[in-house]
Amino acid sequence: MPNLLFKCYLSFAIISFLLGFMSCNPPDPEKQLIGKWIGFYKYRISAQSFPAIIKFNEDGTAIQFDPQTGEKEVQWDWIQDVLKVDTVDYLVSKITEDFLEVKIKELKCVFKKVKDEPQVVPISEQLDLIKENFWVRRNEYIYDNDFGVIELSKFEDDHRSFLKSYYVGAEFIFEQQERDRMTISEFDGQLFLSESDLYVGHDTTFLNLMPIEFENENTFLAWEYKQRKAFKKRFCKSTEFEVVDSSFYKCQKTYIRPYFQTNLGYKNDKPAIEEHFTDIFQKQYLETDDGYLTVLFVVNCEGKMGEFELQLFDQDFEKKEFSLDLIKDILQKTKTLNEWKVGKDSKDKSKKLDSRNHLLFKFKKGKLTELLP
Amino acid sequence: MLTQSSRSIDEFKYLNLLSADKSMEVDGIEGENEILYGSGRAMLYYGEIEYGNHLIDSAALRGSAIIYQNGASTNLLLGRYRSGMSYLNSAIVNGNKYSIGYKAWLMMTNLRDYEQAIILIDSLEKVDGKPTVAYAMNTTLLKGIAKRKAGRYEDALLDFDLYIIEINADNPLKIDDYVYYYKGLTYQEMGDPEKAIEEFNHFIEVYPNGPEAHYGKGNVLIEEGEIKEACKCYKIAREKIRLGYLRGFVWHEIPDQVYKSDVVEKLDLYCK
Repeated sequence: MPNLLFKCYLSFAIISFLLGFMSCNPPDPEKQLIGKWIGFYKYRISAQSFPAIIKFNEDGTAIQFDPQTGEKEVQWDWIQDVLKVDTVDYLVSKITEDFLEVKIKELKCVFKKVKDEPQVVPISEQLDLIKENFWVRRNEYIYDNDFGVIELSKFEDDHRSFLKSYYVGAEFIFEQQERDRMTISEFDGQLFLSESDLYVGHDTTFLNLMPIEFENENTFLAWEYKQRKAFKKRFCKSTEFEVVDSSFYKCQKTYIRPYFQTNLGYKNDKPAIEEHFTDIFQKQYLETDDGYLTVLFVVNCEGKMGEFELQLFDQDFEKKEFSLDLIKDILQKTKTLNEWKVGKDSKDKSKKLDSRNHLLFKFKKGKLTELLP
Repeated sequence: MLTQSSRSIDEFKYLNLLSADKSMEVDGIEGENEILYGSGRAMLYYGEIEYGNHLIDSAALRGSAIIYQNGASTNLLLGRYRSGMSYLNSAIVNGNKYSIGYKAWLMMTNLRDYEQAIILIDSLEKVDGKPTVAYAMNTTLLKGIAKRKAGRYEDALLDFDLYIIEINADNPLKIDDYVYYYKGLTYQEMGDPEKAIEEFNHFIEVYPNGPEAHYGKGNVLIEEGEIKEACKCYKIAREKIRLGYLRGFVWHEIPDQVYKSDVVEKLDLYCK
């Protein structure tokens, strides 16, 4: 009897061990690879977005897609830690159900698994729906900016025109039309929105690939992946506006140098800018309008102004409210500065650049006392 | 598909992003802090303000007060005074003496709060001893300029004279000749044209290429009715400006900044 019990116990132990051993086996990374992966971020710390998507098939083929080159069918193979895709070797540092980390020489890239979800609006209707309508997007909170912004967009083939309305709280201050380069592309039954970095040369400088997801016929989301996060941009169907050709655009979307690096200037320098604000220097606002008001903006490679930001603070650099009349006057005057000497590349003087600049208005008991810096 | 254009590699290298990735094996907190700060700074220039400051915060929390100082500088140069001043105050609270001087300079030049600048310079001198510098300028001279702008003319002159004595005692070659220009302006504002011209002449003697003194002297002569002599001064000032001798900073206006348009305006008004 004890012998039988011992044998039962031993069998049970062996079976348990084998089951445990088998269940502890890690999933086969090659099997995990099968499916669609979208660029999540590149670079370890800055975690920038990048426009790439790869669909791995079980038969050793893959389809690569980016908005510049479109679709391309390639071969893939996985040898030890190296994932060969077409002619490129990726050193795989990590693969999970949701993320794939690779290195190409010094460059770290992380991809996110794309799960195919059923489309609320058929893909065949989505592009027309986007292009035939106007879409509003609200941005009530912007870091370090006392403006809230509402953008009303019209998507065209290679750009987006948008009417940007600037608010302080719920109060409308002013609006301006702007443009940027965007394209909508399709891959594997899904639409993607991509922004370009350069206005000229936009079709070779895509920054990202944002999957479009319709919540219903009146709302769609564009997901921007960067900084290890998925940022949701919600667009809602809205009213129309008249699109004009002369709208402001940035010649480069990212890395706009500050004024002192581009040598941005103004005709007749600061005295001319001060003269432009003579009316405001002479006006008396409320006694409580005491402190500083900074207007930040971009002067583009054509000398036009746009992308305004606002900071309101007191002598202790704490947030402060100013009267709406004052804010409106300042912004109306600022955006009519039109004699900029456009910034240039220090290494190539023929190359005109966008520049970031700012004006700081100092108020004492409702009187503008200084225009700085 | 994932290869980079040569343009973007150069750009990212310049912005420290690739170097950040390269240093994954860097030992020690110090190296990692520099990379976090460098990436944060790059992100600020890229327009990713929130993320950039988040990276700078991470670096500062792990590292030294100097990172708060550097974060302040980047934000302030981009016109972000709220976040910049917040970093600067953190740097001061964390014991960075240099930041006191930098704040004094900012209060004076960027924000034109001269009384606050004087208070800060005084506190820097208590901490650092005299003589000392704030943003590479002698604090005695800076106080004189701030006092003058605040209307405290007698005190300003005392500081200017003290500065001259201090520097002459150390090394006369180190003197900033513009101290005579500021003295001239002070006397002019006090309504003493003779002494004003004396100081402008002294400046011209030690630094004849400085257009400011010629312009300042011209202004005093105009007030005295000496139009012809004033025009001679303005013409010299214009020529010196044309040759590139005007003092100025690329980031912001300095106290009593003279512009070419100021001189041209005077020439048009009085000398045609």
